Amino acid sequence: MQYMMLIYLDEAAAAARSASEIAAAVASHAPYIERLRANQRYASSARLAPARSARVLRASDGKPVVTHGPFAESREQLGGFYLIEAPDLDEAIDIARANPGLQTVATAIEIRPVLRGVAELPSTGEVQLARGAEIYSPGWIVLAEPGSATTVVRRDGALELVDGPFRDEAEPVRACRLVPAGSDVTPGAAAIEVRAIL
Amino acid sequence: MTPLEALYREEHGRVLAALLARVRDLPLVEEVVQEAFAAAAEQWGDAVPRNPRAWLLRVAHNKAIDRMRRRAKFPEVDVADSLASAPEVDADVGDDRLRLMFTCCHPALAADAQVALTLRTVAGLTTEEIAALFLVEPAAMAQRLVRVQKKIRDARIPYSVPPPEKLPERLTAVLAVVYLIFTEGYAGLRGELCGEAIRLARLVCELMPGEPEAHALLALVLLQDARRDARLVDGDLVLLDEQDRTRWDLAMIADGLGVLDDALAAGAHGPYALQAAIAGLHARPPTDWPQIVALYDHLLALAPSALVELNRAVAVAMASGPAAGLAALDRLRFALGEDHLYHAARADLLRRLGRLDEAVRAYRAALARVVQPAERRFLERRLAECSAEPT
Repeated sequence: MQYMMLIYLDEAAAAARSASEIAAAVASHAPYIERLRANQRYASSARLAPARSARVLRASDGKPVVTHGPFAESREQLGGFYLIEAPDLDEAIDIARANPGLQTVATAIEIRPVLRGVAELPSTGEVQLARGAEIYSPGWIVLAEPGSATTVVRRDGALELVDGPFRDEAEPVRACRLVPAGSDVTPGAAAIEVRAIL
Repeated sequence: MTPLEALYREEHGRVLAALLARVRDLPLVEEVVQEAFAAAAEQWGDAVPRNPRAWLLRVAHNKAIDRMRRRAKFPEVDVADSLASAPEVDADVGDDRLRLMFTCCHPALAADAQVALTLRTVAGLTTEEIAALFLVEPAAMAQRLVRVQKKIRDARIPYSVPPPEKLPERLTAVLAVVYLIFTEGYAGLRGELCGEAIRLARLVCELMPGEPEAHALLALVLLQDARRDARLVDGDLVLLDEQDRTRWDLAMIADGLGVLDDALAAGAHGPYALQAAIAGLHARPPTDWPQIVALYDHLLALAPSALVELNRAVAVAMASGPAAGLAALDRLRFALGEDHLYHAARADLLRRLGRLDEAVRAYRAALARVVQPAERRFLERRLAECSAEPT
């Protein structure tokens, strides 16, 4: 089955890095992805543009209303994700713990079971995150509720396992899809956060 | 307990574990096992089937298939293909329960969730019973249990005994849950919880006979529980050295000491073995206090803990006099300054040293922090004694 690994990072700390530090951090993911691929564990991954660059769409009286800026104000923001294949949660946890992001700016990885996954994904364009409600239309990756999440948290240099999501949110991510930049989406029960893929 | 309630206690975990081996959907399995017992209550009357477990398992299994066919969320997944044949009744039932235990105590589940789920599924307590034991509303407990059961299904928490490289760590988690259930019952003076913990400890030993630490844990809970009744007289707390030893459960002590000897002979040397050895010394008067201090030293080397140090200080006071105990206790002021046990132990030593003014202040500090009513009454009684004596 598939697991979605939502990577949370301290955006201020991430932005304070030098260009060469960022390049090294990004490069550290290449061997990790290669290893996942070799073991048939890899489905997709993306590094997201900062939260302040997000577009948020909400339905208001049946019409979409767009706002710009972070979906929710917080020091730690969703900074990227991995979609992986694993036979069970034990292996998913091992894969999350080995994520090189936890050696740099990631402070936590939330592991969410995927109720319905997808086979192939583009890795450029935008990611649309459905928040507060699921979207079952074709092409959407449907995540289990946050109550089923397990989070690997970096605390004082050590990794800890926490039962539940990284944080309780009024409108947690419930589904997502990767689309070409500027793709249409109609918000319904879910609010849609759109973030560019870096 | 009615015969059917007793049967529920006994068979719930077995039936659930056996069905879960076939249907990896804990919320569903939980539901249909529940319904199978309800059907039994309606249909059996006085005519209990010759093999009640097989009856329950067959009924629950049929209900599970039925349910899955009807409510498949994603029709493209055929739910029934893996369920064509009924599960075998006595095939590896023991192993199923062991798997269930490891699933319930998985590290991706919070400690309170592990405890509640183990009591619900393995021990066969009802949600209402667990809610009452942990002093929460039944609806809140039901909600918690549903969340955990769904997580086990959706996140695919393995239903297996962990591989050898992960076994020591995972077994530690299982034993910790059993001991947590025991201490919850022991500290809160709720004997039913202690009884459940002993049942679970016996089950783990039976399922993993080659694990000395599991046997050490069983010895520990037996030896502590044997003295449980003597701790209370008319609802008031009585300290170990003032307990009426005729109220100790001597058969349970003998049982615990036997289990302890076997565990030590098999190489147990972890925290439970040391604590059980200490409990064993307490159970065999006259108490060998220097030996108890030595065991606490070992325990601290293994797992440093301020509470263990507190117990050690009390043992030091018994072995070498209250002044030595007080000196050991004073080092804990920063770690345990907000814990009533620290102040209560200090008050007791000051009282024995005749420093009554200081003892009164320490009893007041303990009373300001104590929660448990029986402990509160005990401290109030001691405070009154100290205040009454001329200084």
